[in-house]
Amino acid sequence: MDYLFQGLLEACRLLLGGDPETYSAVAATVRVSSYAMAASLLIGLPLGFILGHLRFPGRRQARLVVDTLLSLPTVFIGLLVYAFLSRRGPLGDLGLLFTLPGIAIGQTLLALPVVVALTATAVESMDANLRVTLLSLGADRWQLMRDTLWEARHGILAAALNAYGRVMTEVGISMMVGGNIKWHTRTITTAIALETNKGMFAMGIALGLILLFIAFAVTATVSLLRRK
Amino acid sequence: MALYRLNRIIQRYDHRTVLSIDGLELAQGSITGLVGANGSGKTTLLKLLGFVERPAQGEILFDERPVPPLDPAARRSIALLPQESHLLKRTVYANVAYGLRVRNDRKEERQRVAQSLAWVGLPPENFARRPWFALSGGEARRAALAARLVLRPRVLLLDEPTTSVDGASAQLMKAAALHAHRQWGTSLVVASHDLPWLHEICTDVVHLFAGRILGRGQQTLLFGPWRQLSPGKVAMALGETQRFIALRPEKEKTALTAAIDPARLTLLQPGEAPPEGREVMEGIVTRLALDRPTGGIHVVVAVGPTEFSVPLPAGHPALAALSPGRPARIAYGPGEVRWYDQNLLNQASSCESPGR
Amino acid sequence: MKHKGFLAKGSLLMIALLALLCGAAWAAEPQAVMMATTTSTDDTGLLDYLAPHFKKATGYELRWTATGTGKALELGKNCDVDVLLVHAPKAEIKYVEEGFGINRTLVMYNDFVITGPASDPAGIKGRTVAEALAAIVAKKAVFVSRGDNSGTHKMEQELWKASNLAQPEKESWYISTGQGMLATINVAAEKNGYTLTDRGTYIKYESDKAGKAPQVILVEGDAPLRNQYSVIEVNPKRCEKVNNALAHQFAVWITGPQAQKLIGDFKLMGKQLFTPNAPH
Repeated sequence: MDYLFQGLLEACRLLLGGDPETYSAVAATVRVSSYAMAASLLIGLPLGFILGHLRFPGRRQARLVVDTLLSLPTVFIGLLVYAFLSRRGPLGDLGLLFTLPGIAIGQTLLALPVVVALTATAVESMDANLRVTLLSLGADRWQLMRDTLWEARHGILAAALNAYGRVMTEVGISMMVGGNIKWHTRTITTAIALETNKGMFAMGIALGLILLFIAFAVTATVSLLRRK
Repeated sequence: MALYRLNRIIQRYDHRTVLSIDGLELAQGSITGLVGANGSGKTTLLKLLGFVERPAQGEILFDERPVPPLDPAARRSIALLPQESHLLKRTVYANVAYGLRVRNDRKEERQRVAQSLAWVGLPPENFARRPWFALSGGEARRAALAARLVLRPRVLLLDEPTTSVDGASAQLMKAAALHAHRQWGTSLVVASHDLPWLHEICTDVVHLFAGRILGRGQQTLLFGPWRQLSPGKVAMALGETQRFIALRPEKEKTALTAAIDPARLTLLQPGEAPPEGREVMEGIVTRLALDRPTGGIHVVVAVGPTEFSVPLPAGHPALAALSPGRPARIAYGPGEVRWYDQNLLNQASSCESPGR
Repeated sequence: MKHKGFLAKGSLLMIALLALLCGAAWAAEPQAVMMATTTSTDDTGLLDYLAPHFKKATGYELRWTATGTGKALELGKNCDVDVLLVHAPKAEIKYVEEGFGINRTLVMYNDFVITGPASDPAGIKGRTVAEALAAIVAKKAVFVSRGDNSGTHKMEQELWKASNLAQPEKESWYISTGQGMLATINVAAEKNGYTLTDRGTYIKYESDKAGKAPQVILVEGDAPLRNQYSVIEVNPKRCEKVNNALAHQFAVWITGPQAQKLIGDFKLMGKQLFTPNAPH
């Protein structure tokens, strides 16, 4: 049990003492998860709208596929992205292996099904009269999508937070694609894995607490936004 | 040039035919009433006219031109107030300004929004900043109407605007709709159960029944049940003492509706005997209404629960004796009804979709 | 309210742009040699200690990803790293023979030890590796293995073979962790079992436990226990993209006198972890 207490002390020491290694991992985590979220929202919101709003043949099947992808294991995504980004892989020329954008690609794949599925659900659960209302006031296709998503903003915010949680906490992709390179691609989660492997449990707990602290900061900001 | 021209329109939901209109024209600057029971296709027709839905078959010309799917150009001169007027999750101000913003027409937005809120009796200083959930049912409905009025549309489609709102709200909405018509020549298409109001304002009334147009003008529909009276005749009870007698239809069907045109009805003077072969029913005058296109007068007579409208030319001597509350007798020919089969559409649709 | 919709979308776009900019920034970073290595060199802190010296000597940055030897070799095969620092001599020789790597050079060694609980239930203290393993089998004492195809795991498999014992993979007392060395020692401590570890990681472990380590060294110094590290450059003929110039520079540096002395001087708890033995 004293790991927990030591961990708490260590977390305070790392954060307040400005430990450069910790801050490097924090920066990597925040950066890479921000890219991943931006990309998955940019791609996922329109897809989720299409899936939730439009009635097209094969929609049910598409929904089934997306819901299945919610269970993609992160290590599997990591391997998949590695296979593509490896220098011998089809996208090897981009030189993205062992880089933060490389990790972000994997995390985007991780977050995408969450964003798409939950956005589709949020859009589906909107009042059926919303479409008629928007169209009757003169919205075009793009405005119809934009404002349906805006009306579904609470559900979508929940989707984004859910996806953000998955992205922040995953370790399989960061480890496999990022390589846990100190000062570069070491994120908080890979650092936790490393410290735990080294038997530095208190340090692992400290880093875990720091991750929780970041998650808290993000969630608090979002819920502040939600009130508006 | 007609504002709308509908050609062989069929609309289906889940393989069920809900609307089937062979042809309909609406004139620019007209006020058209849509009358019919719930489920008769009024809402569907309004959605088609508003181009928020596409018909399964047929075409609708607006200004004599077809409108491409989801094309905002035509839709932006038409404003539809849906039956369930949904407010967006924004302030009242943003709700009313929404249509202007999607049109990217933000000139003097503030004044225009305030003005249209005032038209529907929502003082902007009190209501503009309220969120969508802080309105009563009637206020929400009026805010929704204001969001349409601010657009100064060429066509305003109102789907049961006064249903389930308080009397004051209904009055304000009626006045605001007429204001649009008078101020900007907006063509109105109004679906409503408020027949007196429709008869008062409309240049044309379209009767819908089970997805079909039964006729235009002020005909009365008699839904039955029809009872065998003699081998050649059937009758429907109107209240406790009166009945409507009609010649038996050629084809025996279970559920039939009869329609009688006002032009086929005549008012009998006190003591006047009905002409040969005509039946008489007695009722009470409920109101007199001006028929705008002809300048004549509609005398509305209630026989039991059913209202019949009888036209009289302006200045007719009988008018002097007619005022609401007075008894009146109507003569009609039993052979002059038209029969409609209530199950017609459903039968047709079950043939069209064998898979379901 | 609607402005916020645009704001949200605007900020997303900003982030996307930022990502692109940063991507460009990364591309412009100074050249670095990318190495795949084993967990032991990283866990002990040796690489953290050497990297700044390498930078000072050559001007290049050393970056490494620490995994099991199996994955490190695989990364080399896929041309994803420039150089390898690994410790599985038989696999390495085969690797070079197959043309995946070139210029394999010995760098240093440490030795493996068998650790276990101080109570030593199988009574292996001070015995040879073969005797100790036989005693563990006879007693069915708990043995914790890396089980991750790492250099240490490969060494362990060879020791069972050399002692004429069957691989006890399926025995109930044999625990395969699939994790790194320190994690595995910790499992052994929890289970009161024996394990095979490199001495460097054990000293680190002992140092972390500040003298109260539940696992102690029971078997050491036997000839089969030597753990040889080598540097291998990834074959540039197979992999056009690898930076062989830097890889070679690193290989030369780490087998050169300066780095060899640094390795010999690297101490934890006053104990030397690695013995440099690059050929002169």
